[in-house]
Amino acid sequence: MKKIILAAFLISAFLITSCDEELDINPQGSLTEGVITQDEVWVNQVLISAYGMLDGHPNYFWAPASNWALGDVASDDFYKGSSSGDQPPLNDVERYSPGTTNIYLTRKWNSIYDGINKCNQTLRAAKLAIENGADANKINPLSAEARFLRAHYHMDAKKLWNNIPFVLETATEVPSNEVDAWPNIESDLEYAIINLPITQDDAGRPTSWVAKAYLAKAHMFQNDHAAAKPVLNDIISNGPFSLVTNYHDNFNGDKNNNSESVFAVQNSVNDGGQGVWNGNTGNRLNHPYGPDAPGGGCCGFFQPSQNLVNAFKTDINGLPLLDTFNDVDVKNDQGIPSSEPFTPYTGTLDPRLDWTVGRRGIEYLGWGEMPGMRWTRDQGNGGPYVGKKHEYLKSQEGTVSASLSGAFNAINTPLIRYSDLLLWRAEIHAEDGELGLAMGIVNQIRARAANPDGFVKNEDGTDAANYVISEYTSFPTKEYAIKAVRFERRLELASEGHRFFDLVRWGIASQVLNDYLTVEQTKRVYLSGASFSSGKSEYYPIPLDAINSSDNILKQNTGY
Amino acid sequence: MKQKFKNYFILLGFMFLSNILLAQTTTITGVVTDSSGTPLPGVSVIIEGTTKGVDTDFDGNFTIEATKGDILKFSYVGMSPVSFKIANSNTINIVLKENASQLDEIVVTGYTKQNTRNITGSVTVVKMKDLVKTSPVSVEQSLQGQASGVSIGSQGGPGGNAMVRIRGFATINNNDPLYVIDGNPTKSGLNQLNPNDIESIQVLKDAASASIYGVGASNGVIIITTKSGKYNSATKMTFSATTGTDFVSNSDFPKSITPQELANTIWKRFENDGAAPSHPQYGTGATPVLPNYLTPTGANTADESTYDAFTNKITKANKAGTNWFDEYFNPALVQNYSLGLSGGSDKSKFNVGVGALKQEGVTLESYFDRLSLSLSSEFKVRQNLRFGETLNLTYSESVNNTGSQFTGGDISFIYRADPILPVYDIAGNYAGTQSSGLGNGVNSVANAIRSKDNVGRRLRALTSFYGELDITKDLTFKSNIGFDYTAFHSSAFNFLNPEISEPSAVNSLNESTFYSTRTTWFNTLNYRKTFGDHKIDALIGTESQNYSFKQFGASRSVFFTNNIDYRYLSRGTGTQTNFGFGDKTALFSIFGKLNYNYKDTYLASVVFRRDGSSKFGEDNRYANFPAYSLAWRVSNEEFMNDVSFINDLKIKAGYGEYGNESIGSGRTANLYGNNETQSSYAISGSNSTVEAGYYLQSLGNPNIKWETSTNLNVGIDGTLFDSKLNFGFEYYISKTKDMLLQLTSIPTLNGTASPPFGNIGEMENKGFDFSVGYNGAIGEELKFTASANISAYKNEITRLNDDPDYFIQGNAARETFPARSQEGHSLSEFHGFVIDGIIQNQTELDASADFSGKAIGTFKYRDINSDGVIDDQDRTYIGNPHPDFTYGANLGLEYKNFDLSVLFQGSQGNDVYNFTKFFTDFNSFPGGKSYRYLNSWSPTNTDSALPQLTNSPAQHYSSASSYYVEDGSYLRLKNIQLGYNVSEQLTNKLGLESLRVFVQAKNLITWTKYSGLDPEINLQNYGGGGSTNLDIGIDRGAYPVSKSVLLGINLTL
Repeated sequence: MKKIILAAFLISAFLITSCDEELDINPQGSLTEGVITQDEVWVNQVLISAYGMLDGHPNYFWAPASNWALGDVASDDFYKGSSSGDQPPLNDVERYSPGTTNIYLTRKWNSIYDGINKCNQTLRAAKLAIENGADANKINPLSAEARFLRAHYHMDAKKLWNNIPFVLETATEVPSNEVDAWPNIESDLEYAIINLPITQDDAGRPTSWVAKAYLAKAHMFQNDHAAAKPVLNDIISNGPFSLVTNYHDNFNGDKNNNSESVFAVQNSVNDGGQGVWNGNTGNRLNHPYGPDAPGGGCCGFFQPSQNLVNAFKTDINGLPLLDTFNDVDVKNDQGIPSSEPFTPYTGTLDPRLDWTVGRRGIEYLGWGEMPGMRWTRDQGNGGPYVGKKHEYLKSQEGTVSASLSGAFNAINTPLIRYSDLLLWRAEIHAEDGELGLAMGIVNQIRARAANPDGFVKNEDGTDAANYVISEYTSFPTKEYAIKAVRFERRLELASEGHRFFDLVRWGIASQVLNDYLTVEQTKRVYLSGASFSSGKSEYYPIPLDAINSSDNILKQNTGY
Repeated sequence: MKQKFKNYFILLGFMFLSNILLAQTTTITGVVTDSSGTPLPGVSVIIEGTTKGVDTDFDGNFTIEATKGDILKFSYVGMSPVSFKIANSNTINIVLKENASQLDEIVVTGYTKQNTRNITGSVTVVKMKDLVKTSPVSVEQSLQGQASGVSIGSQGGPGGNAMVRIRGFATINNNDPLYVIDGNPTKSGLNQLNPNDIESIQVLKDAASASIYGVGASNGVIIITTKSGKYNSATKMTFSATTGTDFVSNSDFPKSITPQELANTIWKRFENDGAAPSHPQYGTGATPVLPNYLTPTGANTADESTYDAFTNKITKANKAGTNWFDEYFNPALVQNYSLGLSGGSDKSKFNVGVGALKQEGVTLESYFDRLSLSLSSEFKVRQNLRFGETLNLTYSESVNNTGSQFTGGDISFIYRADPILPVYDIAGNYAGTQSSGLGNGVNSVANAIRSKDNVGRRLRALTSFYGELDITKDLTFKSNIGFDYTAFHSSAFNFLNPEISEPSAVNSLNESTFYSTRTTWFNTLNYRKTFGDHKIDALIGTESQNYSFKQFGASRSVFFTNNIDYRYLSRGTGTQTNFGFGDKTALFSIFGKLNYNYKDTYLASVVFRRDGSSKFGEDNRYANFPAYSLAWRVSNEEFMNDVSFINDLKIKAGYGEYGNESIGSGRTANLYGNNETQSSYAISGSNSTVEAGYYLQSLGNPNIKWETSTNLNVGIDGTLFDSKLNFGFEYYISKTKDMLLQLTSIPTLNGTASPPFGNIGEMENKGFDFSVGYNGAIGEELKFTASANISAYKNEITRLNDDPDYFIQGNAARETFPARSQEGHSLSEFHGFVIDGIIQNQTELDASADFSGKAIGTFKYRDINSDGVIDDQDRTYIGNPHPDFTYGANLGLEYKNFDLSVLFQGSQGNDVYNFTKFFTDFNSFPGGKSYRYLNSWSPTNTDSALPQLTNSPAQHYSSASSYYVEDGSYLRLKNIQLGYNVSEQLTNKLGLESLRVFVQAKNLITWTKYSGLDPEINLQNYGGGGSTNLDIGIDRGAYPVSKSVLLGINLTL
């Protein structure tokens, strides 16, 4: 009996000791710190992930790199589009009444700070690699890229929220947002300027010149023209950038990274896997609404405003109507079914209109004439126009667009174009009273736009509309010069996510946008009652989630 | 019958022998069984006229010194006592017959068998007799209304999962109970088991009874024992068959608005906005005109001869209106067959069960087919050495409805399908929203029919092998190895759907497969001994578990044809993808239990378990979970002798702890990796190649440890009035501490990296379970039983972290988050704006707080913080998905050869968040609307709950609000069955032991105020773990519980 009990206990004891070791199980499908070799290869792979957030979180169309939602729909250039009940939080953005939990703000914040976090991971990995004996000459350029990207992300946040925390790689808690972030942004860019090479093998990586362009942008957004001027002069005189011959080449997926592209999000499709998630996911809802349209019929968001279309009108001299452009509308097909006839506007127009806006009766990138109502999801809600710059040519179907779904394509998302940079310089000239120099730059931009080879053509080779565009002959006053430069900026860069931030930067957002709302709400019922609150609406509310999770270190913006 | 004769012979034989042999003291041994051959432990064996006696052991064996001529008295609660005079044989086998009114059961609770009447914890024994009466297709769903404290939620649909919750919600993490099937612990759904193969089900509800199972037992334990044969029994065959129809009544469908009424609402919107009405289909006139054709758009004539399926689809308007619910739901045939064979000799016993289920779904083309084979046998190699095994092998094929509880699913799309759309165009191809102005809905009928070959195939083998050695007659060693294997394969072909406004660009085939294995090995030593009035039952054991899981999937796009025989990945020509991942975990435990019983009057139990989990770091790997319980059988006390109406009365109390570790594995360390969608980038500038980026994906916490629940349970059980009335009442308090929660995500600092877990939360559940039963007779012929149970719990999150304002958001319903979990509230309450009706006039307008778009005829939002402005600060808790109580009532009648059973089941006081109203009650997406929408507010219709129709999405219309919250209480006639036992004369003629036929109806009537398809709305992701519990009772378009009418037959040979 005793023997048996003893035996039983021995059996039990044996089982206890032998099974315990089985509890040491490594995580499956993940790397832990112990198995990673901290060297330049690893630093570069982490850095790639920091680039990976440039186009926003892939599963979020709420956080587009192009800022179409918070930069263009929030401006006088675009409507939300689509139908009234789809993505209602964007209606709140458009009406300047976003709540603190608005998904477009929360996701954009998270997306930006995820990018920053990955930059900081890169910097921490770089430090470890050097401690482990990696070659600093190989590591430092990678660190410079990470700091450049960190500046980019913070600058994006700065434009949206102004009072933002600048997160360093050493941060262990959320920094205060009551400290101005500009000095840190500039410091990252200055480091990048020094440590980045002047050319890069990979088109997606910034050079020292790109970092300079970002520094200029940082100065422009601080209205520090004195600081911006020498940087811009350097880039224009000595840098590698130039305007391309045809305006549309900037939006052609087969001409990505041309000489005008200063910095752009590198989009790609059919790149292994499903081949969609790196293909401009931020714009994936912004295609005309018709199965015979590019984008595969989804989902009709991001429709140009009548005000924007009107801005492209030109007078008999081929110049824009700076003050009166919105007095009479460019004729549109509102309320006219696609099956009924419609003759497009016959007045004179800037040719860039038809590379920016898809409108009834005008050839649409090889997809035939834009058929009007049939390509809009709910014309009554979103108006008669559709966007165009982020759309691929019919001939590029399956190559520039993803073969799995046309909603994704490889057209790069421009962040800074050379014309953008030139127009900053023109702004400074105008403000400094150098009217001739300002006009010279504006005319340089207009001359390119006026290249008739670059006009939208009908199938028979004739111009698709009555394009009349010419260069200015004089900027009579400083005020005129400023107005003309700003107007040119709107025409040249429309739908590239700059407009709202420019209006805020110039201090005219309240006036321009309230004027816009007064007229536009007669056309779009959902805008009635909306208004821009000066001193509040210039910046968005800090997402409640971010404030709550910061232990209330983050303070809410004025008015929210 | 044969068995009976055998026993008589034995009895006669002994009596005969006893007369011719001389008196002498001998050792008598034997087995006591019940009439079905199950050994009875704990039977009192006393030599009449003396105090000398013993109890039978675990297997019904007894040994006693007696003299020839002595009379042995066998007595046992619930059985009629038997006296037996000792004759010549030293071996006596006794069969005790049940005293019908005093039924007790021997059940498995915690690795050993126990008599239910001596249980000190909270255990509900589900009477298989009652369960079988529901002709269940799935084990879990059959539990509904049968056991107090157990609530079941149905996912709906053939082969659907069920949500089983025992006594509320103990944690934010996985709340599924632990199932122990023939010793195999599992958390995965039981719809793979054939209910006909089950012998018994016990639900362990408190720590005293459950904590011996350690890991995951904090959500309760459901012990399932499959059927086994009986020793010394004739081979018996049973056969049962049911067939019938499942259906959803037309009266359950929301009343659908006519196309003209729908068009009128569109015109009304324009009129109210002061704008000129226009619509692609209905023209621009003063009133909307329904066209004859939807494609061509709004046309009154079309040249039908020009039809082309792709380039010139022609679709007629259905001016009378299509009832999409009726098109999508159809009566479905259900057939279920089970065959059982069992028997045994004195050395071996066996049971074989074979089942075939063919269940069509009430939605088009869905089904669940299940084949099952269950085998068990046991062999006595020596008198003290037994080996046995069980095998449950199930293969199922199913085509599931893809749309349940998902706003992009087929059912959600039915709510918003436009009635003017026909199902088919003029050529018999599918019609859809490609016709202008009708929104972006899909044709759910087309989806369902196209998906009819998208089959999921599952093989599950659940098997155990054990050996038992009686080291001495009191000490038994058992070793049991269990193996649970699942293999799954699904093949899904996605068709081109040119009929809709947002069609797929390509067709594609997705195939995926996974396997999971779980090996469980436990060893126990069990010591049972009676010392006079003292009985001891002690157990020690060890258990180890290893789990692994691996998934693989691949897809290919662009198939030349949709032909089913061409659906192979290699035949596609487009994009090809693949994916795979897996998991591994292990557990190791030691445990012990000591039950003490003094005169059946004072009962005590101590349980101890020490669990180790691979999910925790070495320092926190193990935790101890003790439990203690006491019971006092008051009815055994002398002072109760005079209280004759009390047959049995027991007061019990228990306290214990148990653990939960149901978070993902690997959370102790920082985890890095790459992700094609999130971290790859085309750094080279190429349009078609990306480089992989690696990043910190989830943050680890090396200090995480076991989540622990403490549980206090007090109760009283009794049988009264000649054992006609029995009742049980229990009250409990459960407190979970160190609840494993993901720490607050700090996106500003850590981006989207998954935050670490910490043991930071606390939760409390309080409640009671009450059940009462009565069995009686009226006259000789009419017997009846009635039982009812009622359960209530109150769940409260007592802590999430240091910040009382912190909350955890539930899953999104489109852009809104209607559920929140926060300290001081129940898990997953509804949160949003409170709507106090409609602003009726200028005075009310002036008095109402401001929001963008405020006007007469819009919602009046409650200004919670009284600052005059409606913004995010004015949201509050607006509803609670937890019921005040749930209840069930069973009625049984037997009259001559007829029997009738009726089961009611209900839930009271729970709210449902009816998100389908987002589509049907607001100008959200073009498509079908409700009559409520048609009846929206106007100056002449001021009683409406909905604001004035407009094209303008005034602020907050789409926000979570009290408008969506409805009372989800219901009472259901869950089951009614009428059976007829064919008379013995006839069965004898047919050579049958028994034959019963029955008719049955399930879920026939539901009383509810809920406006959706069905009030039984539970989780969004059944069996999803993780965030599953963060969102309860939100109807995103849930699959309704179907009704059934069945015919059946039970036959024993």
